[in-house]
This record gives sequence, C-alpha cells and structure tokens, in this order.
Amino acid sequence: MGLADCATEVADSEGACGLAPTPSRRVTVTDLGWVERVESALVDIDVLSLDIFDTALTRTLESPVDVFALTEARLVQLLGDEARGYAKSREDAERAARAAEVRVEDVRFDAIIDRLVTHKPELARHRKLIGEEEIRAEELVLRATPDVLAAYRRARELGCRIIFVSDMYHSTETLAKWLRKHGYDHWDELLVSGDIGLTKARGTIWSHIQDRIGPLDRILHIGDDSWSDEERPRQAGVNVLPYVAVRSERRFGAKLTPALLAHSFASRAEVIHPRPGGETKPAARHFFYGLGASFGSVVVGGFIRWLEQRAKALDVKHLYFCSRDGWLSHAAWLAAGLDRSGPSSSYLHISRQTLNLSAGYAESRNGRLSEELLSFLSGSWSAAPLATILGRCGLDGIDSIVASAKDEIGPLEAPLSRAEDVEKLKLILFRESRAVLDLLGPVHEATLAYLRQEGLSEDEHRALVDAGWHGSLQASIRQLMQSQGLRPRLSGFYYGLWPAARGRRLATGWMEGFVGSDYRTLSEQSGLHGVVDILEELFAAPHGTVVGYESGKGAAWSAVLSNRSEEMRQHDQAVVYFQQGVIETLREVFANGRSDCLRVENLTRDAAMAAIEQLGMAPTSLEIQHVGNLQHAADFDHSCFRPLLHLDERLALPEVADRISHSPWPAAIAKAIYQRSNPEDRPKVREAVLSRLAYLGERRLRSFH
Amino acid sequence: MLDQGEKAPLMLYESSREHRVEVGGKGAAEIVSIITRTKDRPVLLPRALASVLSQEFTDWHLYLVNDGGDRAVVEAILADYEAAFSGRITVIHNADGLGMEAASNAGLSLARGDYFTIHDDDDSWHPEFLARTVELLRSPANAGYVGVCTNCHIVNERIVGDRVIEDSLSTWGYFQRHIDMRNLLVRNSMPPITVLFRRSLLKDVAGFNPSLPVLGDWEFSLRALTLGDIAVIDEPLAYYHHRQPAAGAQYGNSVSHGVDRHQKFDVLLRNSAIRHALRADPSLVGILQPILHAVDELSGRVSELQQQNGRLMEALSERQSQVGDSRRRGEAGSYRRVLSYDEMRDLAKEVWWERNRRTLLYKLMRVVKAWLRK
Repeated sequence: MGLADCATEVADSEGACGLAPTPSRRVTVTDLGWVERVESALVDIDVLSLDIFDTALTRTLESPVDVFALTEARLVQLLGDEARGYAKSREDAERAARAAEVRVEDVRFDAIIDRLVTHKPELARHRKLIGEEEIRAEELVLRATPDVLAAYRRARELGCRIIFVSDMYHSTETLAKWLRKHGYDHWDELLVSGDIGLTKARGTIWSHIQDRIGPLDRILHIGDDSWSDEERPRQAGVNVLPYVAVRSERRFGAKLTPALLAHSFASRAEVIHPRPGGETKPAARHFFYGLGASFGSVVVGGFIRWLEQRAKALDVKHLYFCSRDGWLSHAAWLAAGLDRSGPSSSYLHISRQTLNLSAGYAESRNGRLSEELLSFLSGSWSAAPLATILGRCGLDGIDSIVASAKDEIGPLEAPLSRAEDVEKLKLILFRESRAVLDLLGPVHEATLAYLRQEGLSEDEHRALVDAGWHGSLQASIRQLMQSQGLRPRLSGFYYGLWPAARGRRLATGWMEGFVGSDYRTLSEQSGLHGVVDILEELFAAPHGTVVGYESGKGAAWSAVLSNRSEEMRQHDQAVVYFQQGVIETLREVFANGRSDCLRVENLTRDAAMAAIEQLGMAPTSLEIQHVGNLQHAADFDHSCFRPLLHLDERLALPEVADRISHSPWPAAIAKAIYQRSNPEDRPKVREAVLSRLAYLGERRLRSFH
Repeated sequence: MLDQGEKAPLMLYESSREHRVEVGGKGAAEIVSIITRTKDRPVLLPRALASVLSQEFTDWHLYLVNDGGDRAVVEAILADYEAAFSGRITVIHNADGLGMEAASNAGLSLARGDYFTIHDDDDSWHPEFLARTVELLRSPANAGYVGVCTNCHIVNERIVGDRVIEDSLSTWGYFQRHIDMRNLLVRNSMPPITVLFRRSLLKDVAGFNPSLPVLGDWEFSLRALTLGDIAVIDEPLAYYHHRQPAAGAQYGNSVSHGVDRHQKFDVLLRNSAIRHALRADPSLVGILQPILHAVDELSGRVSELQQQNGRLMEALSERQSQVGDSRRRGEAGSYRRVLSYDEMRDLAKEVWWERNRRTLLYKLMRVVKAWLRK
C-alpha cells in the first residue's frame, strides 16, 4: 500500500488519528433572532454575499491553525517522527510566504507549501502528500452552519443572486468542493483571495465585485470578522449583517502540536453544540458547565489517568484525596470507576491550618514557639486585619495577647500590612509562647488522632493527592507522624510542584507532579502558574476549610468546618456547574471509552498541559468575563475573598504594567485591559503589555499586534 | 600529591580498594549510567535522587556511592524512594571515604550503559536533560562527539534545618557555545552536572584521577577532549547549586567552600601538565619562554593602561558632578566649557585605546608568533 492509499484509509476511518470527532455530528448552534433579521433584510437586496469560514462553514476545532496540528497527527501516523513539528513549521511557512508576497494581497496554498519544504527539506519528497493531508484534515473538521445555510436557501427561494467571498489560501476549486459537500450547491460567483489576489481585509475585493456583480448597495454581506466582514464592506457601501454565533477566537497559548487537539475539539464543541439554555451568550452556569466538560475534563481526566498509572507503578495501596482542592479529583476518580481497578481511596479532611498548627506545636521546643510556627501565625498574603489574624487560630481568646497587640501594634481593625508590625506580633506571640502552646495542644492531639484514625500511621505504601505546589502538606503530616516515632511510607501526587518544593524533599519523601515539576523554573511554567488560583477555586470541595476535629464519646473523629457564606455562594453559582461538567463528561468517557469529542486515550499529560496553557496564557473573552469574576482567598483561613481580575475599573496608563505584574492571571488581565482601553491609548497599553509579558514569547503575544 | 612517586600527572587511576555493593538490581534497559557521590548530606541527597527520578528519559541506572558516610541515613532516605527506583539503583557503601574521583571510579567500574554522567548529590537536572543529551549523542550525525554538555542555571542557596532555601537563580557565566580546547585549558566551563559522555571513551582515558581532591572533573574533561569534541546544547538543562561557606564543611560546595584548595590544585595541575610536556620534549622551553615573556609584557602594559583608565574615569566623573553642581546653581556651564583642551585630548585618546586595544594586542601577538617561526 502506498502512502497516498494509506492516507485515504486514514482519512476515511473516523478518528484514525484518535482525535477526530464524530463526522456526522452537525453544528447545532442557532440564533433564531438573527435568522429572522436576515429574512427581512433579504427582501430589499439583489445579491447575498457570504463569507465562508466561520460563516457558511465552520470547523470543529477551536482555532483555525489547529488544523495544522491535526494534519501533523495524521502525517506522523503516515511518515513517522520526521513529520513531528510539522504544525509549527506550517504556521511559520505561511507567515514567511505572506511576508515575501508583494505582488498580490494574499498567498496561495502552493506558495506556502513551497516555503515549508524549503525550511524543512526532509519533507520535500512528501510535498504532494502534505498538501493532500492538510486538505483532508480540513474536510474532516468542516461543517455547515445551519443558520447561514437557512439564509442561503431562503435567498435562493427569493431569487437573489449568491456570491461567496473568502480571504483564503486554498484554491477556488477546493472551496467549491467543500461548499457543495455541505449543501451550498449553487452560486453566481466564488471569489477567493488566494486566486484573485484581492482581499476583504483591505477592501479591494469590493470594487472587483462591483465590476462583476453590479451596485454594491444592492448586496447584503454576511460574515463574522468585525473588520473584514463589517467595517470594510460598510466603508465600500455594502449592506452588512454580521454573523458571530460560530466565530472562532484565535488562541496561541499552547504549543502548536497535536497535544492541543483534545482541548480544541472539546472547547469548540461547547460553542457549536450548545447545551439547552446555553446558546450564543451563555449565562454563568452554562459557561462553567461547558468549561468543565472541556478544559476541566481534559485536565482532570488526564490527571486521574496519570494517577492510576503512577499509583500502580509505585505499588501504592491507598490514595488520600486531600481537602479541599483534591475534592474534584476524587469525585472524578470515583465517577471514572478507577477505585475498582486502582488502589483504594478516601477523602482526607485536612487543611494548612490544622497541619501547620499541629506540626508547629510538635517542633516547638522548651515551651517556645518555633520560627516557622510564628511566621504561620502572624503571616497574611492579603494584609488581613489584625483581629482576623488573631481570630483565625483562636489567639483572640488569650487576653494578654490581644491587649499587647492593641498597645504595641494598633487598632484590631487595621490591616496588618507593615513588616515591622508583623515582627511586633511575632514578638508578642513569642513572649506568650506558653499560652499559645496551651491553646494548640488540643489541636495537635485531635489532628494526630484523626490522622491515625484515617490510617496515616499504617506501614503500607500510601499517597496523598492534592493540587500542589510546595509539598508542605506532605511534609507536615510526615513530621507529625515522625514526632510520634512513626515513619509512614507516604508519597504524594500533585498537579504541579514549584521549585521551592525540591528543597524540602527530605521532609516530604517521594512526590511527583503531573504537569508541573519542581525541576522546572517558574518562568518555564508560567502557563500553569497563571491558572493556580483558578484551579484552586474550581477544584475545591463544597465545604469550608477544616479548622479542627471533634469526637463524641467513643465516636469517630470528624472535621470541624468553617463554611463561609461567600465561598458557598460562589460554589452554588459557578463551581458546582464546572464540577458537574467534569464529572459527567469523565463518567461517560471512562464508561464508553469516549464521548462526542474526547477519547480516553487522549487524556494525557501533554493534552492537559495544552489546555492549561490555553486558559493560562491565551484566555478567550468569555473565559476572562466569567472566570475572572471568581473570588479567590489566598490566606489559609479563607477570610479575605478577592476577584481574580479587577475588570470594572479603567486604569491610568502608568498603572497598567503594575497591575499586570501583580495579577495572578497576567495574560487575562492584560487582554482585558487592552480590549477596554481607548483606541488612542492602545499603543502605550500594548507597549506595557509586551514589556511585562515578554516571557510568553512572540507567538503568544500576537493577539496584541 | 599530584606527582608523588613520579606518576605522570595525567596517569589513570586503577583502584585497588575494595568496595561493597550493598543494594542493587537491574530494572529497565541501562542506556545511561549515572554516578552520584554522597557523604553525610541527607538534606541534599533526596533532591538529587528526585532529580534523576524526574527525568523524562527513563532508561538509566543510578550508581549511588556512599563514600564513607552514615549508611543508616542513606538507607532511611532510600526507603522512601525504593518504589520509584524500581530496581534502577545500585548503592555502593565505602566504609571509608575514598575521595570524590575514586568514588566516581567505583561507580563507573559497575556501569554498563552506552553513556555515563556524574550527578553530584548537591546538583540537579531539568527533567529533559537526559532526553535531550541522549538524543543528540544517538544521532548518527553526531557520532564524532565523545560527549555533550548543556548550559545551566546557577542556584544560590542555603540550608535551614531540613530544608534548602533557594535564594537566587542566574545563568552560568562561564558557559561556552563551543567547547574550545584552548578555553577549557584555561577554565572549566563544564560543571559535571551539565555533561554526558559516551562510556566507550573510558577504554582510552579510563576513569577519574583519584589523586585530585578537587578539579577531577576538569582534568577528566581535558583528557576526554583529546579523543574528540564535546557537543553543546545551549539551553539551561541543569542546575549547578552553590552554597556559601557558612553552610559548613558538610554542606559547602567544593567550589565555594574550598576556594583555596581549588586555587592550589589549579596551580599544581597546570605545573604538572607543563612538567609532563617538558619532560617529553625539553625543547618546548625555547618556544614557551619568548611567548610567555611577550604575554607578560603585554599584561604589564594592559595593567598600566587600566590604571590610567581608572584615573581618567575618576576625573571625568568629577567633572560631570561639577557640571551638575553649576547647573543646579543656575550657572551657564556646559560639559565642553568645563573640560580643558588637554583633558579633552586625554579623553579622546582613552576612548581610542578602548576601541582599538584588542586589535593592537592581536597584531602584537602575530608579530611575536612570526618572530618565533623564524
């Protein structure tokens, strides 16, 4: 069998690369209001002009360039490793071809492939196959848009002439084939920029159309691009009716490799196959469900698959999913049925508060608080009021501490933000070490009793499962156990670990990260770093933080929870829908081996990383709007909630760079600020963005150019 | 001492001391043999073990040489890692410390991989280190290279209790994009954590020189380079960890903690190499002497010019502050008015010298070489 035959076979077998969605599934998104508007507009015009991509046809992939990644996946199957890196080379080749083309306004597919094989000569002998495979990849993912197809048919009924106008490098012949395949079987003109050398983007194509078709004011143009399909034709005197229901938002967060396809298909499905009630502008609940079914499923699904493999490889007998960030992973683990094939599991109620207080108590010597415990008791990421800092661990119940704090630091309501005030508080607590240790003694005893009850003191190999990032939870538990003369075989599995974690590996024992490693620099992990606060909110349990443990006479120990109303409200309004999206999707994927657009074998570490990088470094406008509204608490007591993004204020230019630097989600705040800035301020905003986010690289910053 | 017993300075060591292999087993295919030397550094060792275990390339075997350190401590740490190693570790407990290079040889004597590398117990790798270096050496196009080194990050750190606190991260200042024998003879630009060698080269250069308490890796690299070139990957795929002397003898780096010892053995090693060369060919003195004399003269001249430059910069700085003062006082002073003609001339000379110094020195060297050829 030759390569071309093989390619045909691959193309014809559904998902031969393991990534294609169900070919027969049609686009279902519809905007009834728009269809009505177009029907009335058709009455007054002679010609209906239709844009092709993301208007008459759309792709089941999130971003147009993702087709190159699909092509690479298919080429690797056919050609092996020499095709790896194709997608990136293909993208670069198109940019180079465009830059080199000076005679006409657009390039042709042949010119792009010429450029590609010049840069990647090892592929030169496969030139024909590459061209065919890219066209096949497009065919696999192209679908008709029902609203536009309906408008087209109505226009035909009314006797309007039809023209298709596209800024595209593929040939007129290729586009004609695709249009016919999807139900557009007649037109008066099909104008493709690659062939005629004129574009919608520059507006030059409209005079050409006037010459061939007639007066522009008798034409109604429908398209998705705000510049090429709205602004430019309007300037030329064409009637315009935008269609944005299937508009793609280009994102360049993930590397352009086949790993991004799982997330790309899943995310796109949320746009073109909306769930009931979640039409073109989904409300928060629909948005978060969709985010869970796409981003969440790829990330959490990849994690639990990896977890199962690693736990088996290390012969781990039991997994403890830790509160609160491990809650969703545990729910997904159970929904996927992995507790039947993998190690046993349970949910462990622990928190930084109980563990650090207990471990700090255990390591305090001679009736004096340890330095680490003092830092923990007095520290705050959010400059919380003094009263909050004292109250969160019950220190406000020690009169002498409260009195000294008032005298030496100031009013209890004032935020504890100055370094010297924190040092003063440490000194006060150190003076009162005995009283503080008396307070913490029962917490220490109860925590130990709970951990023993849950089996943490057992000899067999067990592991903690949590979001990550410093290994402090694992170190504290081992420290507590060791203070009792025990040496449990306790490992840890996390979504990610930061470099600081590698410095405490003596205390933690073995631990490993899924998508983040303590042996990679923070800047290398900026995608993951940008979504940490998001993951912590979306993965969190539907209960508050653990503040202690209680037990009736002879009864089991159980956690005492601090259920804060802000947290619970956020959970009910947003987080619960995200988690439902994840759990229901993964239940289906693991039960059947696949869902509409995800296959279990595609839930990999690379796919999860790609999803994280897309959200972290190239969020869409909808993601910025909804996810940016989530509130996050940085302190261990979850007392101060702040929105992930401050979107509602217009920033002065000098503040822009500072705001980006200090944001937990820098790419999102940069995009939000840029989009909201006045046109005259944009160059300076762009300059600030590019300087602060230079580490993201040129490709990821293209949306600011 | 380096030349004790009339040994040639680069003579290869052959260990006659026994070592005991206490724990071991073969797991996956051993493509890379990793040698880690440790002695009583429990805070650092787990980080090094996890660095190896975090490699994306997994066909390796670790030879951990506990060179006279507390055996129970090492075993307690390894208990946490046993499952993760899955048989890919052999532990060698030396009852007494043999020294760093002899410890390396003890590990190498058991190695079976196509490649080997020294991963010290205080350093660490990026997860892609082995994948990238092995890929490079495996490529037929790179068959001529005897090894490969990468760029690295320098991590400045300190030890607090049972933790290592990393204070700063910077790039390796001595990194060379090409491993040039001439540069490597002057300075070691390849920390061991950045290098992977073909094991086949051991047939010709044998192991590390055990008579060197420090700089053994440098000396080994020089010998390796006599067999072939070392390829370079210009990406920081390793971490070279530095701790200040305050860390104490147990946790100090061989570099930052033993500066004096480094300097001493640096000199001894150079003396030894020259001595070896002169014994083999005494006529080299006739070439070396005039070259070194010319270089010495040039060094003296450069030193004089540097001092002159320093004085001029001071004068310039003083003048600039005078201009600033006069402007603040509202005087119509300017840079040109403040500098005298002579000062301007000196300044121009200085600028010219700064721009042309390299060229002049290079020309001078050519003259010396031409003279020597005559």
